[in-house]
Amino acid sequence: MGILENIFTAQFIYTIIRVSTPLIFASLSSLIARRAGVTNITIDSTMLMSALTGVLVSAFTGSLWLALVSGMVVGIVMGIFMGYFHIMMNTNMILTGVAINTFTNGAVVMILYAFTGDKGSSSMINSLGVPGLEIPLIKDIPILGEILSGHNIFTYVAFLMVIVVWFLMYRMPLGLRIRAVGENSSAAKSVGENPTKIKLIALGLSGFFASLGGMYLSMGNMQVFIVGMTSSRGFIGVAADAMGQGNPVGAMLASLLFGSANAVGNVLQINSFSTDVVMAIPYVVSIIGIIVYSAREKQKRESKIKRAIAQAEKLQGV
Amino acid sequence: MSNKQLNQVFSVVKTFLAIVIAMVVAFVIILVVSDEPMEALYAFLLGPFTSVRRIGNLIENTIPLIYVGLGVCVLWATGKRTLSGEGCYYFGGLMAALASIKIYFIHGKSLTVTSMVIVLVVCGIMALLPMIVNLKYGTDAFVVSLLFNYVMFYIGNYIFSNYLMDITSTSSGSYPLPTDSFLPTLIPGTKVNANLIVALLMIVAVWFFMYKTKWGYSIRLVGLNPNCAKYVGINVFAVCILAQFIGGAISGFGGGMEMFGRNPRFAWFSLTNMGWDGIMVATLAKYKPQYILFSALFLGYVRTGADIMNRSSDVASEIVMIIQAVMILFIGANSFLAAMQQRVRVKYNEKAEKEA
Amino acid sequence: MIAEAIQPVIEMKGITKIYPNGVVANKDVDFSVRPGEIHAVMGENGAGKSTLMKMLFGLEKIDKGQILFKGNPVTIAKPSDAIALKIGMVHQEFMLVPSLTVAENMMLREEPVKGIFIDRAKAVEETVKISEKYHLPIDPHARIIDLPVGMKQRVEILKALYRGAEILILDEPTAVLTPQETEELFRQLIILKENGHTVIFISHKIREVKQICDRITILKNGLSMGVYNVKDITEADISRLMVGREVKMKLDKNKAHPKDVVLKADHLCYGYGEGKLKVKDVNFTVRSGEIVGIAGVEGNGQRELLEMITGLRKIQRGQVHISGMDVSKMSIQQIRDKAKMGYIPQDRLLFGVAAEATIKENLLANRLSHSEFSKAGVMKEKNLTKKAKELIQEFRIKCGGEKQTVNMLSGGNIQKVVVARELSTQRSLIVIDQPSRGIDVGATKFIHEKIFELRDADAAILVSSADLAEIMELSDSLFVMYEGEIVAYFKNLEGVTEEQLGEYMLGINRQTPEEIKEAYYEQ
Repeated sequence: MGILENIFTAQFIYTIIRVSTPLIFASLSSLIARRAGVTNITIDSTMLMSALTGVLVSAFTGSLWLALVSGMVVGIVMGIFMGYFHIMMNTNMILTGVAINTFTNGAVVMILYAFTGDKGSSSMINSLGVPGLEIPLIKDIPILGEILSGHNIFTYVAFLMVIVVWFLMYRMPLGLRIRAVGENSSAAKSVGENPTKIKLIALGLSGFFASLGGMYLSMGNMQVFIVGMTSSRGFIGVAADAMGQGNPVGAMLASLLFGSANAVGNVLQINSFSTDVVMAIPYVVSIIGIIVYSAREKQKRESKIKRAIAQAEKLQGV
Repeated sequence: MSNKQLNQVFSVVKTFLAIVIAMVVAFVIILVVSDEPMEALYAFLLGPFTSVRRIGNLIENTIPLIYVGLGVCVLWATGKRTLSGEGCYYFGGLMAALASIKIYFIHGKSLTVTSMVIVLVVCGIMALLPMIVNLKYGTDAFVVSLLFNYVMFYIGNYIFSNYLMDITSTSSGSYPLPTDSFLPTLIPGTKVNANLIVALLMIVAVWFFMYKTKWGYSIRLVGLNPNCAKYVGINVFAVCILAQFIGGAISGFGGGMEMFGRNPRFAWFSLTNMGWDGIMVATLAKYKPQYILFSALFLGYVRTGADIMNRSSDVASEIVMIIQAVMILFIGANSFLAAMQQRVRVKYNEKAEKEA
Repeated sequence: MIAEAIQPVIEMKGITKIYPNGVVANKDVDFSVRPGEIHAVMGENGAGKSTLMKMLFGLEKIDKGQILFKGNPVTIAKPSDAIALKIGMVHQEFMLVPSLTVAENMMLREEPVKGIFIDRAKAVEETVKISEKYHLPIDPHARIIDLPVGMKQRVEILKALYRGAEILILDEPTAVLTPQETEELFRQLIILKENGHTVIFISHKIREVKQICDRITILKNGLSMGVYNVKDITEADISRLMVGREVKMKLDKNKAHPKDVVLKADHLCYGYGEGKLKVKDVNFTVRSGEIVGIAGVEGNGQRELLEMITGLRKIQRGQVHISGMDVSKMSIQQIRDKAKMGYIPQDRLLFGVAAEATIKENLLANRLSHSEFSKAGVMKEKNLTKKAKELIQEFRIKCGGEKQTVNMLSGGNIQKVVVARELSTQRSLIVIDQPSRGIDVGATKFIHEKIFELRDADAAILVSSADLAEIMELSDSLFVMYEGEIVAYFKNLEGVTEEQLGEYMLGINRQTPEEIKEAYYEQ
């Protein structure tokens, strides 16, 4: 099939949704942290670590639930650990991120090697996976059914989480406090809030969402752990959050945008485009996405000013 | 003891403690993981000194770390911290290979010099994009530079796969680089070549640039307070671009120099992670060029030891990354020992009062 | 009523605090407050008043000493401890969250809930209730970011009262208020006092303290100079205790002889696309040899105006010419070098200096390209050091040498570093924003004298200050800005009173267009 024919199909949109799943989790992870005033660049590492944890625990205990919970715990712990060093020990975020990133890259290989004897992937052991879900009734609707039904459970959870996070940030006390701490932590302090506590909670939540993204990769999308399998999706999530302006719905939309770039890349690959070009597409699109968005914001502000000046001049007959 | 001296003493103590804690963590891991911990430790700590070849390895490993460390010193000096060193180092290696293989009309050391000039210019330019968009549109410099590193890699890999790949040879990699462009070996029996001298000169050059020229001073002032720099009339935009260009160029230079002697062919199939190591080296050196040699040597030593340990025992060389991570964490932790520092400060103040 | 028999509600004993940079903020300070009084804590900046009160509110940690509340020792490690003791604090920098509404800010951490969600209607209701109880009307739906300064302060006060504060600490509350708003604040404080509240009033404005306070504690250089009944002490006494020497309240000034026009501002406007204009058709000139003052409450466009003049902000409409050169066509460096403009910004630490750089580096940051200090990019260390030492001496900067970092200096000396840098080369135009903000009487006097010196040497000087007494003292002529416009111009200040200026500053009064036009001297 030609490229265009591949794109305008329900299958393609299904793919976009599937591929965007980890990005949505990553962007929500970034969002919560950023609203609390912390730009979390350890999301990718957290995803990776949780991905490994889920696979190892499921393989060695045979329990899917235990695996999922372990992964979540690891994610939360990593978030709080990062928070401890960044906030309480006053370490610059980039250094904290570098440290955790480096640590994870090394630890993941060492742990994998220790438990499976392999330094590249967990293919030697049998880990469990989270199944997909066919939604009754919807799955029978032509086209829409193909797009919406049959996704992995993680995917449905991702979209659900977008709504949950929205309510959290805008309708619940914790969300208000997180926003207050993020915008003006002195203000929060002055009413007796402990900004550190709130930030740690936010980072714990951030780690939680990152863990879901990671476990989707190794237990939803595929049933194996591969070193480096996040492919910096954690950072694309940060980009998506930036584009979404700190709003959960915006982050979701941006994630879908980057997901489509990924999907387009897959189509191109089938049509024998160079692998390198294909692999580069999501990153290029992410960069262009952030740039275009920021540039447009800037231009919007400037043209608003220009129009107002022009109007004033017209009124004064200048 | 004045307050400034107190702060300096504590700074040294903190760095030292960070290293100690990191090494202790490493020892514990080795003890837990290895069936023969003593052998592993011996290989790790003393391995690098056990033969001329290994000492050579130590030096060879240190040299690129010097370059990436210096690169970060300049890249981060304006306060805008990018990861461009990573992509530029890789791209420098690639460009050096590309230039020396494809430029057929220049030979010998002239080819070396020409290639390196190309590397400097190209890598400097490649480093600019994340900074330009940050300055013009306010995008996050770190995130964009990180994403752009991947773009740089795929561009490089495309060139590598399609123009440089030698499918005939048994070992995978590019065509061999012309040997007459290689740098002269300094220590027989090792691969330590004139690159060592160049690296040392680079340290001096960067130090001089940052502390004795007005551009270096402007860069540092922008890093300390960009608003003040703007108010005083410094062109912050130009200064940030300059820092990024030079930092990227130095990082690329480090990658490129690896091609002329140490690696007979270009065989980097992924990003090298040297950019992250550069951050480690620079942080350990407190971002001061004059200390880079020591921190690079230390990391080179740890690296080499881990490689030797990996080959002769059952501990994976990835343990180095854990050591690095722990070190950065504790060095970067400004509040590390802060309470103790404050108590000492109060005590000294009282003593000064009594003596007055 | 025997004063000594009244037990203090708060006592701070032997308080010592040292900052990480070695500065001793408070040393062995004793402080006590009686219930129902208005007690001032006075001192120059750097004297330790803010720090002392921040320790009382739990925002700073005490190194040595203890706090007693109603006779019992207490630990106040964080603001919630202080709030539990019914202590509230209204800070100089407002502790409000800009994008949230008044109600949301008020209810922060005490949010009324319906299940797991916030009960937004109730939050509004509670806000209205408390504002009516204390007669401090406020709009609960307004976003903080949209409110004027006086209103923000009101929200701060209500926030503290809502949380049950019986003891209210106010940190330099009148710094941003007009004379009328100040009177209003004082009226409210007296009502609070009559309702049994205790007020701690941090200020360095002697006149205000004399007007409203019962007792004063004076701090100097981190030490307590004693507690006094306001009735028993004169303004001169207070000043002497704060500074340690008789400070002349009025400085001698030569008569001004203005010559050619140096600065021309034509039809300057700023703020398009954001609703109300911040600067609305401002026209004025400054001639060499004169000091033109800008009076006005902060936030009426002065900052935007000055930034447009100095090239730090894009001119949206209108023109600025310095010595005939069009500023909009020049870079900041050109404006400083070619148009010979010097600028002392409002936020010294934020914009004027690089705190971690040395004094030498800061003093000479604006002349790196001069041939005297660099050749082909390489800096000439010896010349730089020599010049730095000269400037330190000339401007009497109290420091431990030119290699010391700026963040070790007191506020007044940091000010002097900026002044030394800006005023030490030949300048045609000098723009100064809030010359004495946050600095002590001694340093202020020095700077004022320097300004007069430069004026007498034919520099053109434009000064903006929210401190009415200062701007009246400094200016030869001045204009008042209100809501982005010039509403009054005075060619000289004979017979002009603070009250009169206050009326213009608050928009109660306004001159005729003909009178205002005089601000623009036609050559």
